[in-house]
Amino acid sequence: MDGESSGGQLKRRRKEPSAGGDRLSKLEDRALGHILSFLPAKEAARAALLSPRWRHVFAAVHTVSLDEPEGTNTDDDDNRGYDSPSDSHRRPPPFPTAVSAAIIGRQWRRGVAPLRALRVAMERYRGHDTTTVDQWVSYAAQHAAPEGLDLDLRIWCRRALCNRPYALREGNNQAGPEPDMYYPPLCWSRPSPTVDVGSQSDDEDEDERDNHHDQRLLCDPPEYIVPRLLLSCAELRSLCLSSCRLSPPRTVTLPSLVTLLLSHVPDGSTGVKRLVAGCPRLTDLTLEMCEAVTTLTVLGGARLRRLAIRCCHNLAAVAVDSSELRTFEYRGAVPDSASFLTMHGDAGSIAYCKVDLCGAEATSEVEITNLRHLLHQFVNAKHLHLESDRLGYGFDKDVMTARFASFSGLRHLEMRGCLPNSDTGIIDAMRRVLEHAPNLEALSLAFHPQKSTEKHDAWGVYHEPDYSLEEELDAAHHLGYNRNLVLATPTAMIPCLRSKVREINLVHYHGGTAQRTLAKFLLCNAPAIDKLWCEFAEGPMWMQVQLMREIKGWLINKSANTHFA
Amino acid sequence: MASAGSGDEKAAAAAMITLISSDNEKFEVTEATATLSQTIRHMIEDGCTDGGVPLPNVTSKILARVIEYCKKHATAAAGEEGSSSSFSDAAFLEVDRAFLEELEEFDDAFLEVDRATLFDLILAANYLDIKGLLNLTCQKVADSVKGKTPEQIREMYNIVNDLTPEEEAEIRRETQWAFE
Repeated sequence: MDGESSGGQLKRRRKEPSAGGDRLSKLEDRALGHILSFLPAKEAARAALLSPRWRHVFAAVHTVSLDEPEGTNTDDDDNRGYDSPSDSHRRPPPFPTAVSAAIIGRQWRRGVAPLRALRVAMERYRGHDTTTVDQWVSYAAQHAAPEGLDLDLRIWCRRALCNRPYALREGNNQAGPEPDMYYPPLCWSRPSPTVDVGSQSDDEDEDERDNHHDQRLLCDPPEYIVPRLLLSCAELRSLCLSSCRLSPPRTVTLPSLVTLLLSHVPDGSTGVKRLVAGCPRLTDLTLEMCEAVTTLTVLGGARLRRLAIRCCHNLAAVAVDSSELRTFEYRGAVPDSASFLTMHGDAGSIAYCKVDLCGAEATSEVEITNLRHLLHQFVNAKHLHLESDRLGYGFDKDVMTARFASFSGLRHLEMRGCLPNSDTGIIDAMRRVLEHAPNLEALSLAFHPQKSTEKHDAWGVYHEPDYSLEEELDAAHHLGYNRNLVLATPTAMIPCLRSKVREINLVHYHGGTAQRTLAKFLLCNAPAIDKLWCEFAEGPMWMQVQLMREIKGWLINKSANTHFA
Repeated sequence: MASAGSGDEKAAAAAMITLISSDNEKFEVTEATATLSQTIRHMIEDGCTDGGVPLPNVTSKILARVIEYCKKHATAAAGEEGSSSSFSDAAFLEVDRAFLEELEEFDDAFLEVDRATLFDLILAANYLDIKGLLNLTCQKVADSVKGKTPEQIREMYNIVNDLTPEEEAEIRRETQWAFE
């Protein structure tokens, strides 16, 4: 389309506008700016080329969003901005320049709209970017719209959430898989393998700001510290920071802040506490990979409605005013202590709970008991989401289920994890789960592809040890189907399956023995199902068709609404 | 949904508001529905809604659609106890999956309109200052132009390009950052 643009324009100029005309351009600047605010900043700015009417509409754009495109950076950081003339026309200017240009491009025009949101995700950050990033943040704080400002600043935006990959333990094989590649590159992680993250957990906290300089090693990545004025911005309504240090002063004043997300923030417990203490209206708090935070207390001020803690692996104690808490999300190892989470006030209104156990499978009784204690705090949840390396983790153990409470309010249960072919405990585990959820209406199961270095070939394809001998398995996909296999599925009288469960969703179903056994067990015992959704793992059509026929055959209610993808 | 029901009861006890379209048609709505419009909310606060609210910029056809939208979303807002933090409420509402899905389906169906109606809805939402409706309709337009070349956008919306080549070159220069 680009190529023909000049010819097209000539024709267009002569052509009469069709019936209805150009109603879009007749909208006032405020509405056009609002429309363009939904687009990435570069696209919004390019609208200036549409016609003279559009030339200055960018000033009315109230939301500026820029994501650094993936992999645009070359490694020769230090040459940035000092390219030789012959290079400069080929290489795009560095990303921070585009962000500054977007801000200036808005600002130099007349009638500029106050800023409602600035969203920047940058892949790399170098020490000499400090002044530039400070300018963006200060600009946002000073030009914030009275109705509220959202600031989303993600540095090192493609950093992995967690360096603890899911890993199954097979029998006595305790050799964990190699950890996933850390981002930023390994040369920037702490170089000494003897520095155990756990050993830093007792620091805190008054001298934290002085200490962290000593702790930092020469090869640490450069760190961005947010300017103080941001922490007293009266309009700030939503703040999302990734890989930035807060270093909050003793008093923080963020009277409008409702949503706070801190990801890879190096501040310790005191820093986070000071920040939260300055946010009386905070309702939505997410902490992600904040390794220096050991305790989190949200009491006597903000009443959270949503709390999410993801991969803060040194966090040992959380105390929260739960009187308005409705959503709780946790990702991490099984909490160390039964008193990891203390809720003050009525916790009965928590309707959604997600517990995602990352890292290698935990097998000790203590861990399973701790998990049970954690889950028991959400006994009134309507929607429970359990994710772990192994699907149904812990529920095959008596220590979990013998004293497990009845989740009588539970309507939707979502379980995610790997279900390897060799798993024989899943039917029993699922039965026990369902027996504790008498009013369950919907069950969703998502099967992780098995992730283990020994069992994947160069293409990452999963190979169960004796699977390929026993069953047909195409080397280029995840599906398996053995038409000769006889599936042993006990019939079971599980109250919720008999009368309540109306919906079953299977995601990434790859038809291994354990998965087929589980699907058959559920479907053959659930006459009330009226909605079945199944998404297959990648694989040849004929296998998907076979698996689909088999599933349809198990379904008791033949008129149920089914969807296969 | 139980809390949404109590919101309705509260609203029913409150006064009804009469909205009058440009073609003089009268619409009776609850205050909870009407106050999704900031414009009307301010009029109510100022006590100038007696005898009806004339809306000379909105036809009865469009007003009926706007009210349909507000009624549906007022129920959702009531469930959230008038919280002003509407932008992250979706996250809290995830617990009521069925209701959220229903609202999404409603919005999708609501947007199944011809382009003229879409623009009328944008104008009405802008004039009445109904945040959710303005977002919904503007997002629809934004989605339709996303990833398109200027020429494709002009074609789609009958925009006549009377920029001279010099002007075009100038624009490219002053927004060079957006073309890299």
